[in-house]
This record gives sequence, C-alpha cells and structure tokens, in this order.
Amino acid sequence: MKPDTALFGISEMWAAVILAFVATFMWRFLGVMLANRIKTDSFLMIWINALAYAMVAGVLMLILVYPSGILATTPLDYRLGALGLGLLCMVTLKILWLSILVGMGSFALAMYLL
Amino acid sequence: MPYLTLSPAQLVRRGIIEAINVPGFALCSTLIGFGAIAREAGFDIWMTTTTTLLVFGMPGQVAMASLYASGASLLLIFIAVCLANLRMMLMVISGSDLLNLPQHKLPLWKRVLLMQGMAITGWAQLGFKQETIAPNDLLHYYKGFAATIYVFAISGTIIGFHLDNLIPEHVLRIVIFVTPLYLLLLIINAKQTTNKLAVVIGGTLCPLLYPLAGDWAILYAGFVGGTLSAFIIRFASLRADKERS
Repeated sequence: MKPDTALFGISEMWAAVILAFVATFMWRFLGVMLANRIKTDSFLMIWINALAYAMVAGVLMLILVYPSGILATTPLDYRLGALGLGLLCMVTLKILWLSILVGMGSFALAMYLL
Repeated sequence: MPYLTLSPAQLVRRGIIEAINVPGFALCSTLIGFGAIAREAGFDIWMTTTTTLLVFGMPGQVAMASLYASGASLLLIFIAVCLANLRMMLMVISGSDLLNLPQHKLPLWKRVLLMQGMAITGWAQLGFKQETIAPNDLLHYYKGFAATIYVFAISGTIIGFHLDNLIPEHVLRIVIFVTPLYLLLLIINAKQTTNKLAVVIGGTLCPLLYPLAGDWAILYAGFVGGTLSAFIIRFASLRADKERS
C-alpha cells in the first residue's frame, strides 16, 4: 500500500480519484458532443457501433481471461468452458435467464465437482 | 416482434424492475470487488465511493486503484484510465443513437447527466431492449434502469469496502463471474449482424493481443474487430444488392 502524500496542497489519493474522473468524463462529454453530429443511418454510425461492441467484448474477455482479484484463483478452462456453454445456449435458444443459469451453473459445478 | 405499448411511467418502472434483477446484482457484486481492491490500496470510504459515483466504469476504477497501490505516477494513472475508458465515447455515441437522443431536444446538461449512467451494463441492456421497446420510448426505460443500477453500484462499493470478508470466497467467485458472463450474453445477442461479428472478432482478438500490447490491446482489438465487421457486412450487403438487381 502506497502512503498518501500531499501534492500541491491536496491529497495525492484525491488527485488520483479526480484524474480518473476527468479521464472518463472527457470521453463521455466528447461522445455527447459528437452524437448530435453523426447521422443515425450513416456508415460512420454503423462503424462506431461496431467499434463499441468490439471494444466492450474485448474488455469483458480480458476480465475473464486475465482476471484480477478472487476470480484469478479459478482455472481458465473452467471460466472459458462455462462461458462457451452459456453462449451456445444463448445463440441456439435465445433465452437470457436460461443462458445465465447454464453458464453460472456449469462454472459452479466445475469449481466444486471437478 | 411488435414494440411494447406502455406509458412513460410504466417504462420507467419496467426499467427499475428489470435492473433489480441480474444486471443490478451482477454489477453490485462486481463493485464489491472494487470496494475491496480500493480498501487494500489504502483509499478511504469517501474516496472509494466518489470514484464509483464519478467514474462509473469498472475497468478504469480498478486501473486507478491498483496502479496507485503499485506506486505509479499520477500521469500514468491518468493515461491508463484514459485508455481503459475510451470506449465510453463510443458507447455514448452508440447509446445516444439507440435512445434517439437528438430527437428529444434535451439541454446539454441533461444529456451529460443521462450519459453519466452510460456504462457497459446500461448500454448492453439498451441494445438488448431495442427489439421490444420503440426507439422514442427507450429513454424512459433507460432512466429507470440506469438510476437503479447506479444505486446498486454505489451499494456494492460500500459493501465491498466494509464487508468483503463476510462473503464466503466460494460464493464471491461465482458472483463475480456472472458480470462478464451476463454482459457477453447480452452483446452476442445484438440485433445487427455487424455488431455480432464485431463481438466475436473483438472478443477473440483482445486476449490474444494482451500479452503483446497490454492495455492497448483493447483499442487494437476494438479497432480491428469493429472495422473488419463493418466492412465485411457492408461488402456482403452491397454484393447481395448487386446480385438481386
């Protein structure tokens, strides 16, 4: 744990919190400003949507493949196997609650039975 | 599938009710993890809660707390959070489009306030609900949904900060696994084929690039996945149109 120190009269920890806010808010604000300028049915909007989906999928897969904290204590093949079963269920049956149950249930079973 | 015909108040209520379900509890559990990480990093409860309130984007929050704990400079923390949360801009543009926000003629401060709640959970839910709720009605649903998951996120942060040790580890593992699982299930069910393909390419590429590119992998995978899928589907539909004519 790094001790908190004063930086220009304010706590360095608070400075980190504020910087994290600025680093996030500026993207949201830029998004709000740009949203009105892009035509809904344009190829640019299709591309931006696709970028957002690809990026979010990337972030979520990173959380599953390279987790931090307690999830890191579980085997990778259990996580990916359970995700695969959940996705298979979603793609074939298109029932969200059942797919969550299949994914979560298979992960729990793998953790405690295998 | 026909759109639901509900009043604005009923849509808000529906948003609230549907948030008090898997999305709310999944997000709450994820933020329990953040609360615990922030406490370990030395942040107090006010700093931790303020981070969730203002940032409201888990990967950026975790990057901030863990980098601070590792002794990283403020500049490095700023750059890492910028990289982790760049997707917010794309999600806000995409979310505004889903909500038909320009048509609602809202003042800037209201749009900014509404988009503060636009994180992965709310955005993925909008993509999922666009099949059943008309674009002009989606804003009412979003207000109820986003406000509720915000409350869940703050509650999770506080619980994680104070009570992390009270939740058995074997339960916590499963609960934390549900968040990425749930969100991936939502986005793989995207209405447009372009977005489905983007999820597959981006989701596959990112973990493969991560050992080489670190946090930049998110940007690379997002750019390659999004661009490839947009052009592939565009090319396929142009070709289909040509063959038809």
